[in-house]
Amino acid sequence: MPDVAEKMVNQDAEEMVTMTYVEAITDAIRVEMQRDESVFVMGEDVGVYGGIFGATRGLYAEFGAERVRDTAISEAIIAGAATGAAVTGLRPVAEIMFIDFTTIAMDQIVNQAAKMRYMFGGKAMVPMVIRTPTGTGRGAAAQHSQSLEAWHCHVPGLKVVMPSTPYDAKGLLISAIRDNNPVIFIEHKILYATKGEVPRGEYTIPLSQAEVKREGNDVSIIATSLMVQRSLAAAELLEKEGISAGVVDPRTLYPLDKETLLRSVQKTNRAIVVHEACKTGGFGGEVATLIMEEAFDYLDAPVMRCAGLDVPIPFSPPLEKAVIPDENQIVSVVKSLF
Amino acid sequence: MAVRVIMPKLGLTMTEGKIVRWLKEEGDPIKKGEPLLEIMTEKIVTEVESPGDGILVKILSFPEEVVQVTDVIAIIAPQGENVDAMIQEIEAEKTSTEGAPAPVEAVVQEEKAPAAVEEEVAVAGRVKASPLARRIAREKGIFDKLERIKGTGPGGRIVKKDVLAYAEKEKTELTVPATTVETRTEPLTALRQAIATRMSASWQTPHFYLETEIDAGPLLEMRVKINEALKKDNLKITVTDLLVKIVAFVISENRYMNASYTKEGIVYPGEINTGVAVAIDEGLIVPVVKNADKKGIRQISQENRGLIAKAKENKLGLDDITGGTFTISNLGMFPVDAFTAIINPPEAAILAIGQVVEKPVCVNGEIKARTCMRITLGLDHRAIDGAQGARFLAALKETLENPLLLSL
Repeated sequence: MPDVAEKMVNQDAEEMVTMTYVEAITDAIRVEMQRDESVFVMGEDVGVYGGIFGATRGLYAEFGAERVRDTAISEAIIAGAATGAAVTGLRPVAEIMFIDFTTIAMDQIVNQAAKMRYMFGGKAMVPMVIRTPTGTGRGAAAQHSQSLEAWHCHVPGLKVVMPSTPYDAKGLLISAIRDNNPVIFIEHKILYATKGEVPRGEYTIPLSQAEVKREGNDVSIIATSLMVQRSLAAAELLEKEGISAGVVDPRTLYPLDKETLLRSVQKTNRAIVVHEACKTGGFGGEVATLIMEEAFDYLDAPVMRCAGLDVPIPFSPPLEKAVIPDENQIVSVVKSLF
Repeated sequence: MAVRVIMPKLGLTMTEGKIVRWLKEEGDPIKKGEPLLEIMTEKIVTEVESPGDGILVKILSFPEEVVQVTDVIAIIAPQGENVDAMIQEIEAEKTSTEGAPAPVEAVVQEEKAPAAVEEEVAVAGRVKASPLARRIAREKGIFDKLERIKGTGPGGRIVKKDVLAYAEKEKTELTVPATTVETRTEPLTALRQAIATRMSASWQTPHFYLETEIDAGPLLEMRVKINEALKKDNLKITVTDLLVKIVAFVISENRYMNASYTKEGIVYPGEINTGVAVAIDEGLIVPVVKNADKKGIRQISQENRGLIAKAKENKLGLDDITGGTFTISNLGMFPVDAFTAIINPPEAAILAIGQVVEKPVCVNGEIKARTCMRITLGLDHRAIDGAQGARFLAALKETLENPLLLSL
């Protein structure tokens, strides 16, 4: 059970402090940089400026220019250099300013970072993390608002992590930094400002461990990132209508904790998958198919996807809001199953 | 013009009939010749057809009521015709003949509770059920009944709770009666009442019984031979057919067996009419083969077959079951070796036939395998004495074991 495992790794954590999601990320990097000299930060404006969303704020002052490195405005260089550094013994924590820009880094990520461990028979390790913000909500338009996690999930050799709370963000990022494989660590812009209780000091959350964020009996809402929060809000609304909805956050998309997901569906017999990414080719199709393949006989209704529309994200705030699932939309999809 | 429906006289001896049930209700339209009600006489239920066209405006006699023949039991009139005057007239007739108005007790015949009709959902083609619902249905062995389950999911999809609810319902419907068989009272049918009355009356008769075992070999052999001969006519005779013939033949040679005790004296009927007890779903009935002593085996067989068929279809006429002078009751098709039957009054004797059994028999100091049959003669001691019965039984045994004697 996740709770038990976490408590065990948390035994060294001294106390809980309230911090934001972005502070939890900074804290995770700081803890790891203090613990392990091979850990370093690189990216556009991550040094003095502290990163576009402030995720590396204070690190430059604490660890200096050599371990907190500003790079050229080239995502290909960032990803390539990080891969090289990782293969040669360092543990880079690279930042790609928007997940949209990982497209420029794709050759390095897909063809180099993801392949080396396999192609060198396990002799090469690629202990790198690419942190990158995802999603809508800031009026950043079509080239700065996408949700491209499914692209990365499609590449064997990469691990893909998507935390939804400050607590998860810190524990998962520490695990990601310690992992000997390339990890795409996807943070949500809107979640950066959300606050939560986070242990001071180091603790880890194993990669590939989903968490049931809310227990429910009638339907399992499987949601990622920002949609976890919206699904929890939807579950509150559903509760008032007599539907007991559970919310499950995979937290790590690849490798996926199938057992926790399936256990929930086997209990509730109904599932919907909620994500911000557009529906077609999205991660929701993967989860829905998994449930169909492995829990078909437990289903009392089709697995539905509640996802972003298949459109480029509009710049107009009302339209931007309209193309992404909100609580009411989640509620109505759930209700369509009854 | 209103028509009076009367209790019909269906046989020469019929004086009254009991209303079994009305096939129409007051207010129903009816055509001449359409079945209107069922009445019972003796042990026979007969359908009575409507004597006219119109509306069944008034029913005057109700189920279980015994009505004299020709008494008016209903009125059929054209739509709108007032029959009050006619009803008064009929009531007046009754009052004058009986002195007091007949108590009209409406005994509503107990009807079977309507079978629980499952709410059927007709779905064209494939039944819409969730995978989970299908799995549960499969596990509970009700997969083939999915189409009977009403789905409460979106678009009428059958979901888990629908299957569980159905299974639960089925469980209560199926297992509860199976595990707890409740004591119940089956209302007496008219036939059952008639059997009870006649058997109770007969029980007052001082019965005595004489039993013997016969070698049934020759009789069975004769049957085989006759059937071989009748094959070309596609006919088959039964052991009972042969018994009817042989019994009637032996009675004709021992007329004292054809008797009926009455207070006025012992009546010896001129005809030898042999009744054969037939089990039907509702009980027991004894159709009669008249003058069996004078008929050939082929004719007896054909008559028997017709009577049995009519009995099973409840179509026996009054004349088919009256006038018997001697009864044969054959339980040989069951593993019954022998039994003592109750005399069917006003007859004075009854012959009970047991099963044919192959067994070792001592013949002239040697053990031989023989097909044996035990026959038991029940007698009314008021009309027939032991020695008479014994002589008859001896003659019967002799003829049964040597059926050639029939030809003498």
